[in-house]
Amino acid sequence: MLEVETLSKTYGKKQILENISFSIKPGEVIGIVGENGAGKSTLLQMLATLSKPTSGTITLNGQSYDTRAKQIRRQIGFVPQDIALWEDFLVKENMMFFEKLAWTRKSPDQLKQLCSDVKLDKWNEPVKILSGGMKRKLNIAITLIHEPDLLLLDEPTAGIDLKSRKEIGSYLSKLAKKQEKMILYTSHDMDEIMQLCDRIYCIGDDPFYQQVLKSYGKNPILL
Amino acid sequence: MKQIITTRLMHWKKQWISLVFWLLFPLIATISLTMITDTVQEDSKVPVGIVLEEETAAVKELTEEIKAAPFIRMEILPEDEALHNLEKHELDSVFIIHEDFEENIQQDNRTRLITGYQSDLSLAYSPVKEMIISYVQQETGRAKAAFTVKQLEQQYNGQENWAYEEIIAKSKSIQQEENLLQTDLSFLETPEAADDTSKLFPVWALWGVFSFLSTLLVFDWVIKEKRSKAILRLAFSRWSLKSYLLQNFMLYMVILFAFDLAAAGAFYVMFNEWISPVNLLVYRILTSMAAFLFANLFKNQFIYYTVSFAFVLVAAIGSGALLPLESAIQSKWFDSINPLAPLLSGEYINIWSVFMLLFAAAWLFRKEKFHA
Repeated sequence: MLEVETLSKTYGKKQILENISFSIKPGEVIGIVGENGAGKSTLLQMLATLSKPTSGTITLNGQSYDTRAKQIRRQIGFVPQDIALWEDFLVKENMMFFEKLAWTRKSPDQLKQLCSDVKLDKWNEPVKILSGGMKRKLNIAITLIHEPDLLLLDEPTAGIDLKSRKEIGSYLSKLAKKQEKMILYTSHDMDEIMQLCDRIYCIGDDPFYQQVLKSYGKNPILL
Repeated sequence: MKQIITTRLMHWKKQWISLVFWLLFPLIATISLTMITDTVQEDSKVPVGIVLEEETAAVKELTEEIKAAPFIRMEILPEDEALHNLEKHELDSVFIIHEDFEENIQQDNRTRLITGYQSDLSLAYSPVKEMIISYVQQETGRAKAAFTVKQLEQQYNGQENWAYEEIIAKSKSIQQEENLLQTDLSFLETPEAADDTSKLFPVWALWGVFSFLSTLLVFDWVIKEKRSKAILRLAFSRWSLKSYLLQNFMLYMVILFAFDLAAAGAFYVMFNEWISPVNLLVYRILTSMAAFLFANLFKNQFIYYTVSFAFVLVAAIGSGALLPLESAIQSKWFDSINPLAPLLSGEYINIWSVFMLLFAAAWLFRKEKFHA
């Protein structure tokens, strides 16, 4: 379980996030929405241990981020907004490269299966010729190599076709329900968020997203 | 480490052509440049034809002397061919050493020993002529002295009964031992006998410069990989960014040193040039450290390449490795910051090496970007 309590972040004099508290249970998919610059990526960076909060506490499965960040990283899978792949490598080489550096060992067959699970069947293709959707799928597959408990996805479907978006969404939903993963997801696509997430948090003061969520019949939780 | 080797091999598989090129570049460039300068040096010598009408010890001695002249390329030819080549200006001048040369010298007969031919484009006629005259005078003088010694011995009823050849040999050995003019030319405090086999560019200095450049260019992987978004994934792997970079650095250093040893072997076989493996190892460690730390300072690889070329150029000129500038030789301070010093003079502890070690320690103990 991920627990965030009174989390704040400031850059210089600028307050990015203030007193944010929420929690995620295993098997839950949480969506985070908000306008650009509201602090979604900053929140994800802190949850991924890549940035330190100014104040507040975060614990994952009872372990505090302050004292056990290195151990906690083993339980986190972070899918960055950018495509974090070796473009010159083949799909299988990317998978094998990051498997070599991962904590858990996986056979080539298991890695290939992981790609199939996210509907990526271009095992022997170079990454540079893949479509945006395929690259996004590979971006997710690599993150799952070390079998993290908490999956943090920063706009994982940005700029890709509808089919790939649906496939990714469906896979993430399955992953949460069947494997009891905790998934935190940011996106600007309201349809996708509505379909996928158990709860939706709204960051920022802009009432636009709150109104949109209400129009979908959902009550946004303000952070 | 096994995992790091595997991942590195995956990278090398994609860029093996450029990697092999830069690993072999110092060796190939040094061999090519040395061979080209050797050929140019040989071709720039003035061709002089020598015609031998007899082949005695004195003639052999004279031809050896002409051959040893650094600016002359001597060719022994038949008279007709030599004169024909002179007419075609393929030879600068021709000298015919006549029959009874040795006998005439011994009898102090200095006329018509040699006939010289020159064309209107001759450059070396006068110096070669002077060289021959000097030799003839020296040898006739020696012969005259030998006869005088023998005469004096007979006159004063000496018991030694020295042979003529014995006196000549003794005279030559005294000349060798008591030679007034004996010059050794040396650069950068390295005594080196001046002989006709010395090269325009010292092989190891040349290799040092090319190797420094190739090391800097090989280490561009640091910039490329640090710039890649994929490197962010290291935060969620068994290796931190620092340990990933460090282990890869060691891997590169080992492979570069293997190629250094191959170069040492090749230079020994081809040019009979040897260097202490310790010098080579210290140079490799310091140069790799410099390239690694230097690359860490850059985000743009093209700026890094430009600065690297400029850096190597300054090191090459300043150290006197390529251009033996008098001012550079005199400025001892440059030696202490010269990256090539550990290789060329075996000076391991200087400002350069201390600076590298401090810089490396600072990099090693600094806080990582991704906090733990």
